[in-house]
Parts: sequence; structure tokens; C-alpha cells
Amino acid sequence: MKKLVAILISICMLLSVFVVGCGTKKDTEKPATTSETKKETTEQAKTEQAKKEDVTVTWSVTYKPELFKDFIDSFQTKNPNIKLECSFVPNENYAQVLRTQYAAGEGPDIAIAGLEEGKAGYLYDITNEPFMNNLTDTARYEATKGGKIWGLPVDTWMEGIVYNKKIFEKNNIQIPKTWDEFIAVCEKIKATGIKPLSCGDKEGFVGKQIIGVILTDAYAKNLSIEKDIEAGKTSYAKEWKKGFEKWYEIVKKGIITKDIVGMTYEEGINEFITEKSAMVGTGSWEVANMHSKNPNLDFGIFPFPSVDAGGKPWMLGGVATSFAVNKNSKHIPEVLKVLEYAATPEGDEKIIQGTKGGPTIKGVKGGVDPSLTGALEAVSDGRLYCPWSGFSKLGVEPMVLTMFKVNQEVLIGSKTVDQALADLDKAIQDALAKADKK
Amino acid sequence: MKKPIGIKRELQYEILVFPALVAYIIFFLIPSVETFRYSFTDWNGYSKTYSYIGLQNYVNIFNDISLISAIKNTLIFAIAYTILQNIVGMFLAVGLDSKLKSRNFLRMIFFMPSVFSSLIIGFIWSYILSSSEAGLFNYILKSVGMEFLKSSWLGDPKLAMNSIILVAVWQSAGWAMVIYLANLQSVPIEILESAEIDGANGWKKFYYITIRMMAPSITINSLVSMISGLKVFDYVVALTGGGPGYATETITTSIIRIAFKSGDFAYGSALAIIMFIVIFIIAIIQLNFLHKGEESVYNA
Repeated sequence: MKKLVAILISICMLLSVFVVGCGTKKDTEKPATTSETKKETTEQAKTEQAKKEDVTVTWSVTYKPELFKDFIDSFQTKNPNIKLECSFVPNENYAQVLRTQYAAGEGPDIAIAGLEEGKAGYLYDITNEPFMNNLTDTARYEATKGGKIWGLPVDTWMEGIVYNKKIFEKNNIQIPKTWDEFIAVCEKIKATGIKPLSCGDKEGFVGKQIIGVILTDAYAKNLSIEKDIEAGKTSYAKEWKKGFEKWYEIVKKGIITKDIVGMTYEEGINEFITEKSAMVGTGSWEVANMHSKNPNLDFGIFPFPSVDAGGKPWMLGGVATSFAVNKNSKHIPEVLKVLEYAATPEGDEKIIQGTKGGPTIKGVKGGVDPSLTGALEAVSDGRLYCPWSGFSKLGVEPMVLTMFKVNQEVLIGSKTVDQALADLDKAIQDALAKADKK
Repeated sequence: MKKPIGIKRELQYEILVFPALVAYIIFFLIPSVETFRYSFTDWNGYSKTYSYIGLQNYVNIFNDISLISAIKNTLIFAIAYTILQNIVGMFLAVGLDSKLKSRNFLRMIFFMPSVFSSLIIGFIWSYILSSSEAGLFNYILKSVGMEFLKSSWLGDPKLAMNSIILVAVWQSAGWAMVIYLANLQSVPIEILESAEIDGANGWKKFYYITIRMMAPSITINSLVSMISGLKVFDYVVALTGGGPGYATETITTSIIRIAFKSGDFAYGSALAIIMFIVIFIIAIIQLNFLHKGEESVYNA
């Protein structure tokens, strides 16, 4: 009897929790549904809508939202009835957080997403929106996956070797064009008592720099290595071996030691910012941080030096941020207006002023940070590429995560370059087998 | 007349337990059951559809060589952590049970690290042990003239796991100390005195009496540290992130890497279920073994 009463009461309490839950939800949903019905009517009378309901478009980014203040302000003055709300999610957790939100039927209206989320059916297809014609050809090529574009590319990232101009000038050092010259430069700087190159590899990010060097050899000959691997025509063991082994000479010469696996990327950057080292492998995304942490630091960037004596240096990079539209968004027309503005030269310029990246929209004139001008020759010459975005069946994870691990194993000497590349090939084949099954 | 009072009294308890029960069901029980269900699917963690593939994930786990080092690392960590934490905790407890003037202060000092989140402790130590120019530990070694000892504490695969164990023991020895201290208060003084009359010295008293009377706290301490050692995640993530390579990857970090980063949620779930079963079995065996030890003390 006692038990029965207890159970009955607990059921009542449980129910009351749910009822309360439903009640509050309905209240919050109301304005959304009314604005939605309004949307349909506005298509006939657009001018009326501007005076009525304000719509809030939510937007999540991996950058500090303050960086986009200019963009948000000018968008809102142009569209007074749309409020743009920008929130920050750290890069390391971004995909994980977003995918969880999508799986729960939620998530921001605009997010940085692409192929994986699109294939899973969470994104609104923007391939044929008129503003997509504003994209530059390279940005369009990179963003198109299987005939579709899931996100509007708004900026590009570039990675190379960032150097301290003062130290270079003082020691009369020229920008190295080949990897041998680069090693000679490192040795020259080392002789003056300054650490030549800061690298933190606890997260495995040095893997990207190795790929940067490989670009000058393998990708200078064939840009579609990833598509060839998917087709079973070649392997990383074949294509990357020469570049990877050339890079490894810097370890053999003792300029990079295995100790770098014990420090973080961030610590490497801080060494460079505090002028304890002459160079660091990083790129456009770090520029704003470097300017703000040490305003007196005079730095520039140069592309990854080439493997062969006759080769040309390359930048690692490609589309950085792509704005994708949530299929479950309640205000698709308003969201598209934001993308439309981002796809104008004016809007894109404001975005890259925040992210310090390169443009993706035709006709953008300003915006590139002066410290990045050293990259522009290579970029305008088409020597800018990002191998892991070259897959058409896979996301970036299988290649990038494996490369982050195996480069550490090569550095600490537990694996040879050949074994590391065999591991990489295996990870790609496993992922392909899984992707084919679905 | 009696019944209504009975119900009223019972209800007080039910109501008090209720919120916790709801939280337990929503945040633990339902997700656990769901994990079990997902382990039989091929769900990637975010797609809308998935299909059931039976025991395929479990079969794959036993064929996955890369997990063997994760299992090895987990066992090394759990065993070393259990033994060291309890030995250090025991010595601290016995030492601080003596009539030192500063003993309350020292107890507080040694217990303090356990108050903080292990993730925070991990990040702080990762700066201390860093091999960068700013790494504090190497800097100290250099400034006292012991530069030959300078190492890449977290970047050398031979040292990295030891560094993680060191940090974990440093943080949690104080916790074990507190439990041992509590148990030490209940060791009957009569037994110790009669042993003294029989001619036992300090070490013999400790070995034959104190340590045996502490059997209950040894049971609970070693069980708790064994289980948390097998589940270790936060120290590894904060200190090495599983690296260099896969050198400090444990079962839990592998689960997170597979389930959330590589987008193979179902496979990660199957691994989690296996880990649950293994920990369960180890805990039962350990409990039985230690209980026998306890019984032998009181029956002797």
C-alpha cells in the first residue's frame, strides 16, 4: 500500500515535470511560428515585413565573435529587421558540438560545416543560389563535393613558415627557396645562439608542415593524388615518400629534436612571439593573435621551401571557413540574406579583416594583412593547396588524425617514414571501406 | 490510525530521493542502455539513419591491433597508480598520525591537490613538465646545475606514461591518506600496548598490527583507485593527449578518439561496453580477494 502510493505520487510528479516542460516550450515557440507564417505573406509584400517582426539568425564560429563586429554591424544596418547573433565554439570541439546539436534537431542557423554534415542530411542545399556565382574559381572548385556545395566559402587559410624580420635582416639572411637552403638558414641562426625554428608537436600539428613540404614535390606534379587514391590508382607510400624523407633531414641535422613532442603548438607560438626563436610553422589564423600579443613584433611569412633544387615553394592552405545553412532553420530566407551579403566583395572583405585569411569572392581588393604579403606570389601563381580537402568520399579526419599521430612516431623514432606512410594508407583504406558500405 | 503516519513518513524519504533518481535515470541509466543498443549498429554519431549489424563491432575489436597498446597502457597505469597511491597515502597517514605540532597544517597541504579538478592539475603539470623554453621543471634542473637530467618528460615515449602516473599519484595520495588516517584512529590502543609489552618494536607493531587492522580501508582505497585507474582519461588528455604517437593512449581516450573524432560512434560504444564488463570482473575479483584478507584479520 505504502509502495503503491509512493509510486503513484512519483508518477504524478514525473508527469508534472513533463507538462511544465511542454508548457514553457509552447510559449517560446509562439513568436517563431508567427514569424514563419508572416514569411509566406512577405513574399508578396516585402516592404511590410521590414517594419514587423524582428528575426534573430544564430551563427556559430571558431573565431572570437568580436572579430566579426564590423560585418555584423553593416549587415544589420542594411537589414534592420534581422538580428545576427554570433557565438564561439573552440576549434577542437567544433565538429563534435555541432553534430550533436544537429542530431538533436537543433543547432545554429549558420555554422561552419560541409560534406559530412551535408551527406547526413542536416544542411540546406545552396548549390544553385545566385550569390554562389560570386565565388572565385579555385574556391568554387574546392567547395564543390560530388556536384554540390554545402557551405559558402568565405575565407582561405594559408600556412607557411612565419619568420622574425629583424633577426633575418640582422644576420643578412635571404628567404630560402629550397629545403636545403632552409636547413642552412636554420644552422646559421643556430650559430648565433637563437633557436631557429619553434615547433610544438604535442597535438601532432607538425604533420601539417610535413605535408607543406610534400606539396612542393608530389602535388606540384599531380594535384589529384587524393582522388587517385580513392580510385585505387596510387598510395601515399608511393607519392609522399620523397617529400617526407626530405623533410626528415631537418631532424637528422638536429634542428628539430624529438623533444618538440613534449610541448604544445601554443608554446611554440609563444616562443616566437616573445622573440626567443626566429621562425615558426604557422599561418594566417595566428596573425591576429601575434599582433595583439606583441605589437612590436615585425614578422613575415614565406612558403614551404621546395624539395628539389629546381622546384618552387608552395603554401599549404585552402578554404578555411564555409558557412552552411541548417536545414531545420526556421528562417531560411533571412539566413540566405546573410550568406548573400557575405558573398559580396564588401561583406567578404569585412570577414577576412576578422579572420586574417585570404578572399574567396571575386573583386575583393583589401583585407589581407601586410604580414602575409610574402605568400601572395605563390598564391596568385596557384601554388596553394590543401591535400585533405581533395577527397570526394571522405572527410578530413581519417587523413589528418592519422598524420598527426604518425609524424610523432617518426619524430620519436618508433617508426620509419615507410612504416608511417603504410599506417596512413591503411587508415585511408579502412575509412574508404566504411564509406563504400554506406 | 497507524497507516497514514506510516505513509507520511515513507513519503519524506521518497521525495528526498526523487530528484536524484530522476537525474540518475536521465543522465546515467538511459544513456548507458542506449550505448549498449548503439554498439550493435553502424551509427557514426550524427547521421539520421543507421542499421543493426549484430556483433560485428565486437568482432572487430578483437582484431584491432592498435587497441592492444591502449589496453596495455591502461593496465600499467591502473596497477602502478593503485600501488603507488596507496603506499604513499599509507606512509603519509602513519607519519601524520604522530604527535607533530604542524600535523594539521601538513595534512591540509597534502590533501589540497585532491580538491582541484584533475583536468586543471593536468594542465598545470603539462606546463611544468613541458620541453619548451618555458618548461618550469627543466628550467629548475638547469638552474641548479643538473642539466644532464633535462628530459622531454611528456614527449619521450619511455617517460610519458611515468610522468602521467607521477602527476596522478601526486594529486590523489592525499585522498588515500585521509581515509587511512580515519582508519588509524580506530586501531585499538590496547593491542598496540600489549604488543609493546611483548617486546615488539615500531616496525613490527606497524607490520603485524597496524597494517592488518587497516584492512577495510585498504580494501576500499585500492578498489576505488583501481577502478578510477582503469577509467583514466583526464590526466592523459591534459598531459599528453594520448601521444607521442599512441604511446600513452588508454582505453577511454581511444573510445573518445574513435567515437567522436573519427566518427565511429557504434564502434566506440562497443569498446565502452567491453571496458565496463572488464572493470566489473576485475572489481569483483579484487573485492573477493581483499574481503578474504579482512576476514582473516578478524578471525585470527
